[in-house]
Amino acid sequence: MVALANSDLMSLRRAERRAYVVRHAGGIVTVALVGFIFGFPILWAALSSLKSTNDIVTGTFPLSWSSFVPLRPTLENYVYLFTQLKFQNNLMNTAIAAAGQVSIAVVASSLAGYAFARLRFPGSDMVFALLLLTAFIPVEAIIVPLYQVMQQLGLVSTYPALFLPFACNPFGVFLMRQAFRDIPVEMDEAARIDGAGPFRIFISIALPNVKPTIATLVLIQFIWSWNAYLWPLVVMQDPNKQIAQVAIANLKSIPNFPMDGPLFAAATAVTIPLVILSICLQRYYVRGLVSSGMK
Amino acid sequence: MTGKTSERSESGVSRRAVLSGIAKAAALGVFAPAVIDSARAAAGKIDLGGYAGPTLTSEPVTLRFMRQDFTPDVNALLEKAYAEFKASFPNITVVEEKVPYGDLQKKMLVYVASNDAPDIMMGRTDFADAYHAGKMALPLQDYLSKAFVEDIPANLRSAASSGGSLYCSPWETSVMLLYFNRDMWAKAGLKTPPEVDTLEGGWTDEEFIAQLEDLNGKLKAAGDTKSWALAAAGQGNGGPGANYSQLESIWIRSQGDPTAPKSSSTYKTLAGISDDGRSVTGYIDTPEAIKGMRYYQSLFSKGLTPLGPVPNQFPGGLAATYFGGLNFTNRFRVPGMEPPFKWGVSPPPKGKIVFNGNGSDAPLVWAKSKHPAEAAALLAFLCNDTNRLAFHKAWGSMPSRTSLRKAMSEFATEQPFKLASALSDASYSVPRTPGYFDYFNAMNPAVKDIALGADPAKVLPDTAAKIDRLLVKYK
Repeated sequence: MVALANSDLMSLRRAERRAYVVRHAGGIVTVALVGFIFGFPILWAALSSLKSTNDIVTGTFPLSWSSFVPLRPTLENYVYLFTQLKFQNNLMNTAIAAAGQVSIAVVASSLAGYAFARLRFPGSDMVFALLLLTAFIPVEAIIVPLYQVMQQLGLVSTYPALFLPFACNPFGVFLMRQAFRDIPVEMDEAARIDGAGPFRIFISIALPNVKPTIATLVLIQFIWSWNAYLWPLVVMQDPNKQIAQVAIANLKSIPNFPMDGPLFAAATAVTIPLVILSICLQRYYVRGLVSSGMK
Repeated sequence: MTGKTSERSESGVSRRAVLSGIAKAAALGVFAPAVIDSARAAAGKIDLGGYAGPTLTSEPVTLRFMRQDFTPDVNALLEKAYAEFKASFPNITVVEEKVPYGDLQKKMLVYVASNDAPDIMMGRTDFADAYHAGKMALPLQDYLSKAFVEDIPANLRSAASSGGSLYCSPWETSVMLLYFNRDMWAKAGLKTPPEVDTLEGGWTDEEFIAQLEDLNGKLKAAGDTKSWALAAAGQGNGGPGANYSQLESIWIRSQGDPTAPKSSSTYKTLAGISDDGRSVTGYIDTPEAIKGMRYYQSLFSKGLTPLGPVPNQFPGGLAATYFGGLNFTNRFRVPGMEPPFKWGVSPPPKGKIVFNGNGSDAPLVWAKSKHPAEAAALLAFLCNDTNRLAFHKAWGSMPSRTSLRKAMSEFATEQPFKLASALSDASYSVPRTPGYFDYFNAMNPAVKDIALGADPAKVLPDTAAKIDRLLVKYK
């Protein structure tokens, strides 16, 4: 009897699922198509990384199915990349810079966002507006003074120079402020009645309630740092500490000597962590943006 | 008043103007030590090449060198050279910084503006006037022997100089050869481009285009729809408007004539800019320049070459001709790197002259280097005969000194090298102006517009007016 009920239930669910697919067929096809369009270049780069440079040079144009599929798959590009070019060092440097930027930006943005959302102090709105204004200044416009500051601090060509200038991130502060504002004030008041101070309220009450937004911030900061190019190019002089993106650009810039194979291998290697992190944090990412009112 | 004066160079161009000009384009010197005869003897250990500056210090020194990346074997050669230098001068440490080629000028600008530039930076002869006007580079003739400087061919030396001083040391020479795929021409049953070793005997513009049309028709008739008569440009970002200095200027400046009266439009077409380096109207929009650009445009309108960038078409065997440097000749001769076809070289098509631009990479010593003599000595060491010959052998580019070409027998015996030598001997610098960054960056999109169908008679005067406006700030 129970078995029969279970089988009925499963059939019902299957029918519902089928009906859902039929109802949303247009949307599903559109989303799949958009996903394919975005994912295809990554897939193509990954497949090309399994071809020799010579096969890439001779087989890419004119386009045919063999332009995409490695007919003679090889790992020689990865071997060359990680044995001759020591690309793992560049990846490690990028990871250090990204970890530094994510950590410092999350701490600074959370503290500042909480202060702007919850604490009352004279001129807070003005300070917040000024902070937001800095979001409109591109890094290219301030690169020389920024470099000079790093120079004065003796930080040129060090790891902290890669991420310290981005510790105060207006976008991060705004995101966290919006998230903290959504927490009912009554929770703070109850904690205060129980004798908690502002820092305790921040740690024990506020922060646990903005975890999705923190995940969003982590992901965004990680992507920004992972993809950074101009600032690391300028501030890092030591080739042993250079990040992956600049190392990849070096591969592309050797005139008349195509290094397309190692280039695609490096592009694939540098994309994998981003894809994994995006898949792991996508739920929080969307929820964080929705709850902060940015979506 | 004094401060303001010191900001201006002898040519009356403000440093700020030069730096700001470079900056815009990128969003893309001053010690005079007493010359002591041959410090090579003082060093006593290694060949400092043409170095003729003061005896090097025995104090600890760190020299920074910023350059582009090369292939691992070339990088290894340079690293070996630093180790040799260090062995002879244990107090001098060389710290190297490798920057993506397209970002070299941008990074140089940031460094110079921040007053924290490397002692040696890889520049280009194209920007010698900018280095001079912006007081960015050290006059190298104060540190190099006369014999060494005179070993650089006069036209290349002139390209690397400004106001009578040598501001960068040409690292190699740029030549543009017409490569062709012998198999493809044979398949079409047509004669290959003339394989001459002088500037005479190559195709004219008209012949070049007519032959490509003929080839294209025969290939298509034989059912070959994949191949192109002329490969897309591989310079810069590729495709039309890829690199005016090296490539597309051929079509305009070859319509000029150095022997014509200076006031004639034929002469001005070759010059590309007024003598004071501040006006291009009447130079890049002459009837001759427009005619040259019409030839260029016809390559696209007749379907002889792709309208966009297509990488590696020629080495991939999908194009019958290609404009490329001597590197290709050397690369194609390396076992394992041969192309899948037989090939040959011919001169670029001739207008009134066969034109070749000689802009090339050229390291400079930063004007504010704390160790100018040591930096100049390192540069001279890297440019000594042994190091340069090893570099050219590994990298395949053409030497920038006459004695080096004589030391490489292929320049006397083999057609591609003899032709490259002839082209280099008759080559011209980019139009001389401290604002060449602006010039170059305005010409590239104009060339692209023309390739895509815009009327040269409209685009060139408009571009000339635009460049004139950009050059105003260098007054």
